[in-house]
Amino acid sequence: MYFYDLNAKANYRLDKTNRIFLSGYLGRDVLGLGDQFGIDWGNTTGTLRWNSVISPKLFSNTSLIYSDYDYNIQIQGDDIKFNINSSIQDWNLKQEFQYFQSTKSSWRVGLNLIHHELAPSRFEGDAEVFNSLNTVSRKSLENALYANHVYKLTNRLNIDYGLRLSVYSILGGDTYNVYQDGEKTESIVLSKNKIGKTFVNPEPRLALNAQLTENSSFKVGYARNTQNLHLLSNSTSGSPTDAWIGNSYNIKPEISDQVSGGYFRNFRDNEYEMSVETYYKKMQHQVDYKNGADIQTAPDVESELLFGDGRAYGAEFFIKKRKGTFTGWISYTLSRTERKINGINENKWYNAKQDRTHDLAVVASYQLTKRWSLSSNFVFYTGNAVTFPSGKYNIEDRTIYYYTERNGYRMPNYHRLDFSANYEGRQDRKWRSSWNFSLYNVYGRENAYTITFKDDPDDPSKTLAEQTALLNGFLV
Amino acid sequence: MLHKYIITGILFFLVLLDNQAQNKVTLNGTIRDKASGEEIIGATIRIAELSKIGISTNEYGFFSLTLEPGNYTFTTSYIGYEDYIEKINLQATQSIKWTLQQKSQNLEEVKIVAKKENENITQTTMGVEKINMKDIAKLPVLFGEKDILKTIQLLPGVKSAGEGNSGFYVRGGTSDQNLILLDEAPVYNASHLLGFFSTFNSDAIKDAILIKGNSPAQYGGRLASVLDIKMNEGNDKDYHATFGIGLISSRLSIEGPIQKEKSSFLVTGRRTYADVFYKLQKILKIILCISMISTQKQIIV
Amino acid sequence: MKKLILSIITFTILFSHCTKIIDIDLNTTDPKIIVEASINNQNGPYKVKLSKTVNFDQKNTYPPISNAIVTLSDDVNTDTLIEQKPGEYYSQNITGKTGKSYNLYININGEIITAKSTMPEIVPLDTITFLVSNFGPGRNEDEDIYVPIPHFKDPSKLGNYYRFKITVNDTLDKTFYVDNDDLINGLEYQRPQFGNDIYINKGDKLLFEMQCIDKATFDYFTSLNASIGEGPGGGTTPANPTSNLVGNATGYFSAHTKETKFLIVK
Repeated sequence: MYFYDLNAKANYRLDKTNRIFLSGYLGRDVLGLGDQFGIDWGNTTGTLRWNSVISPKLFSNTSLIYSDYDYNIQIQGDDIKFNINSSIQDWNLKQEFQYFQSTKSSWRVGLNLIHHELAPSRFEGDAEVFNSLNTVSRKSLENALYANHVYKLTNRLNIDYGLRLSVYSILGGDTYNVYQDGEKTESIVLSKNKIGKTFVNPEPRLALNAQLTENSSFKVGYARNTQNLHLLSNSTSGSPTDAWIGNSYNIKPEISDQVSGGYFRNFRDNEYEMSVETYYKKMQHQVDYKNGADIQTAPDVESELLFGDGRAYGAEFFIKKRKGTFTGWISYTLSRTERKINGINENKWYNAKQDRTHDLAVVASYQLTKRWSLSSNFVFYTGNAVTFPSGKYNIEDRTIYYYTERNGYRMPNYHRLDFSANYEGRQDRKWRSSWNFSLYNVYGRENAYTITFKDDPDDPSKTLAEQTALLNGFLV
Repeated sequence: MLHKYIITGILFFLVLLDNQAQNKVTLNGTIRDKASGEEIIGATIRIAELSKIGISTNEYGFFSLTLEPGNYTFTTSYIGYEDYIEKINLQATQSIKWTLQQKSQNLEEVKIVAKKENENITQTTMGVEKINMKDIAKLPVLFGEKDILKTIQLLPGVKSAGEGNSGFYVRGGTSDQNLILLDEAPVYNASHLLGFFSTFNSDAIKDAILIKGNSPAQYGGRLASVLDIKMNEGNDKDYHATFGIGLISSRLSIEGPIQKEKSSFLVTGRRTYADVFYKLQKILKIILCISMISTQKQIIV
Repeated sequence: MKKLILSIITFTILFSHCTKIIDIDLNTTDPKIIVEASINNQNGPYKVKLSKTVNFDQKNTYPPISNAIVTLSDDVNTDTLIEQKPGEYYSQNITGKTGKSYNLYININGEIITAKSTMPEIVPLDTITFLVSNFGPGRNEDEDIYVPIPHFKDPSKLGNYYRFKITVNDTLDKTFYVDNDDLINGLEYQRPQFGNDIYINKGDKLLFEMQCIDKATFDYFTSLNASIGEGPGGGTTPANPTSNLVGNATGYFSAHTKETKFLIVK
């Protein structure tokens, strides 16, 4: 099991006003177990960018972007041999103009054209042993046109507003099934080069800043965002085999509307920075899974999906000391995130798995001497909302758990303290070295990674809950 | 075809706007790092004579200021750099190339009296976090790997998706509702080793910003946040090599000019030791159940 | 197969961990009715088992439901089952035949539960071979494990569902092995059956049972497997399996074919 990655970038100034960049990334994880099983996955990206100063006030950027994520699983036994692979591949053309009209006003307008190609789990095996499955990849276009204006209304009032028009079109070449309550009602065959369903979403954005004094301001903002690609993941940790899926005849674009407001203040000549921000976010067309859905093996995963709304609100507090021998920050968030999905928990609002009531981080650094410095961070957060059983029963002598509601319980609270010491080596003309010594989870908190329920090995007539901790500390 | 019309339309619109500003002159150009020649993103330029005016360089290090003709004192500043001050008698439109020098890392200079660094107050958009790679260099790390995705989890409104997980939740969004861009290219799965490390090698990263939902119109496609990561560009003056030895991986990066002050390159690689996890499984069992002690050495040649 | 891969990944990520037993205050629930009912193409009597759920902190003894009215019927005959042991009801004269549909009717003090299942045509089991593997989570490291591979010809029509029951040295493997012909329609079935309960070693006595089941039963066991799969971080969201029972109960009613093979692992 290993990984590697490679970043490369080159840039070239053609003349005073034109410049070209080429950058790329390649990363790969390889995991093999014995001779029988192997999986590798990774991202590849490439960006070709051209900056041009068209006039002293007009700046242009053109980018051609390639992005790819894929995984490949190989299984090789004595009799069987097959591999499963999946990929998502984008070609993306971006053109943007930035126009610096005056010291009070600047504009940004642009166009973004993306061609997606999503290959779902492609199963390739010996033709004598397996049928091939899902060999068709789905193509789509995700285009956007946008304009944004930053304007100084008065010396104390700034506005930043814009509109993004997002257009997502399904491209032909595959059959799309339509489901109603999990039952297939229609099959839509889209021939190649035909444009299928198109989703158009205007996304207004607005931000206002009222500068109260030299050191304080009040800001409000509103933004609508849409999301046309959705990740199908049924586990919290994420797996390399989680698949992306585009909008379809069942899946609509996810939409969020967020309003936020905040007060920002600096103290002691900007030595301290403080802010309080609050937000309320409404989300539509959120994607979730049926109870007991098997998104890994279902022939058409769309039949396993459920849709609904989400809402999130919270307050974020932040204070930072930016200068001096002692620096650091404290950030605290009080929040709530809920979902209401048709078909889950009797269509009532319930805690989303990413809901965290409290979330605290304290970061501190101290410059001990010219060369030595110490750093530390402490984190605390409320455990994830999870589903635990409320009862149990027996099927063919195996203990099975009975569930009454989704996400009705909490994992235990998480907290952890880390330390590090840094040493800056002597600096001469040719050499500079630095050392970082880190101590992770100093007081050995056994944070729960999973909680599982099972029969008591010592007394099979009982069941128990077992907590597994990863990376727990030395006070075990 | 349609796209051509749109672009022509946009240009026409901008030319129209341009005609409104008569009798004014424009100062434009780039701000760069003196040692490496790399453009600086978000450096601020202030004018002593016009106290209310201040602008910053865009994501490519470019700026443009349109003013009445006159004598001005321009002060350019950026975190971790010495201020650069220049007086210009601005009578006609001109382009400049300014460079900023990094502050040396001496303790005395860290204490330098605070300058105008109230960008957090003046910028209009909200919920924007700039991540300075120097800030994160000294934080405690796991297995000797600095990790930008772990650092942003310490910011307000950003929550870790769990232990050993590079996924994060922003303001109630799920991890797939974050748009992660590396030099404008979306990264669909930003984790190595099932989430213990992010795909971003800190040696290759120049700058990153996180926008928590209130993004300007140029960003789109995800509900919760945008994490916009820019890669280093490479030194166009001298050759440099950096290597780092961590507990589980080593890194090497080489940069330098292709043509001096005209073009540059940067290559950064990282690899974990061959099958470190598989072979060290039993040892790791002991190490992990006690505590994580990691060391890392970085030498710049 | 993908499930196996995921479990390997999960295993790997948990390669080093520390576990402890914890106390969790779980909610209590009113007892729910559990139905396990089946009919097959061999001679009866066929069994219907009725029990109730208990709270998590109670002992693993599940109260049987007695004095219920239970009938099994096809389109002609109706057979009223007789309670021979508490909660276990046995048929008297009905016989299962392939291709026929069967109805289950249960009346527990006025609470009515019904279900329907169709017995598929039989697919004959040819042979059993073994995949000799040197790895498996939690196995004894010095011994190779033998993973059984059933061989048979899948019919050319798509939509065949199978269930296997493996008994090793008179102990039933508690893994629910189910599969379908999505990937192997019309081809020879030869997939190794990786379990998570009993590992088979050389010399073991093996009783291999193959069932052809209907889609509802397949869905029941597939979703049951999904909900008992242990994922990381609180993991895949567990839920009650999808059931073909109509009424306030969970469980299954399966009309299936049955064929067994006995062999000694060499």
